[in-house]
Amino acid sequence: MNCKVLLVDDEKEFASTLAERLDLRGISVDVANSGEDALRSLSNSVPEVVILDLMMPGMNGLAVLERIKQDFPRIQVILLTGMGSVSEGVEGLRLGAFDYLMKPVHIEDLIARIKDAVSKSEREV
Amino acid sequence: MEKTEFMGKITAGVTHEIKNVLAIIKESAGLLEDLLFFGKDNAPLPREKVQRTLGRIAEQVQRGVDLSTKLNAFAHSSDEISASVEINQAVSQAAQLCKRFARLKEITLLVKPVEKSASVTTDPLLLQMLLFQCMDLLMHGTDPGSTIELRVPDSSEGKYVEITVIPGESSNKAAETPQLAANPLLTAVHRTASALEIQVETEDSPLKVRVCFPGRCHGN
Repeated sequence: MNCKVLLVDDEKEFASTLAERLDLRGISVDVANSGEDALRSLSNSVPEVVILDLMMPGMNGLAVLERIKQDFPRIQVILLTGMGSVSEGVEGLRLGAFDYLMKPVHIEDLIARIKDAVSKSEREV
Repeated sequence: MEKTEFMGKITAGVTHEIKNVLAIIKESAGLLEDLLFFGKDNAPLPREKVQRTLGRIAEQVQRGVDLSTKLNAFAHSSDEISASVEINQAVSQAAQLCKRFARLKEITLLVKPVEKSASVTTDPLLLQMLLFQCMDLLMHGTDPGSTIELRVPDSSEGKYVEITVIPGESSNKAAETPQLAANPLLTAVHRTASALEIQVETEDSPLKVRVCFPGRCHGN
């Protein structure tokens, strides 16, 4: 599978390990460890999909999502969080997120959702 | 804030962090599996990567143990309504529990313990709640990059906790200092303090809260 993903998570070890696993499956991954870094990264390179943590220091995930949907409406955003409550996920979907997944996630489930998100992105061209 | 709400807030924060730990362990184990699966037959495994990944698993297991221990100790603070509590220990525990909330606001908590602090007989859970509320009050409106210092005096010096905001280098010095008396969170702090028969004093410059236990508060 060839596509480009931006993975945003302040848990550096989680982000780097998941990035390695996606990379082994042919997915090119950029990593950002904060919402601010993610927006800076998007100004240089635009991926098809952003995998976004919700709770981060500084700019939180929902604020990052709003900015992405405003400036890059074609990017599909998958929320990935350790929060037990679904209310933020529901709010994320209302703000235009493609899907909402809970940590820990099965890599096959994540890849399936990335594929679906890429298809949606291509349909919207 | 009621005791149950406080317990819920702390439990939600710590278990969220435990889920992050488990997610890292899961991905690390998955990466080892991937290295076996994607590696060519008879090709040696990338030794350095395997060692790094195993090291990461060990680190995260320890982080998970520390978090569970903290949460367990916190849960046990509700065992008794009145118990003897060493101030040092109560402050360290409260700071540990509040660390994640501070990190999300990009604020550092710094505990300055002493070798032997005084002990007080109090409601351990309600004391944790009061210390948490004091830190929450100071975090409100404090710039990212700042430090909140928690100082406990030596047992001979008095029975109090001093919690002070130390602005970071990037703090907006031109901005007006927040007035603690105008902060609605202060009402809740005083309510909890009153239930514990503890006095709370505040200062605005620097932003400071002093929790005074019955007995010698000012070291005199």
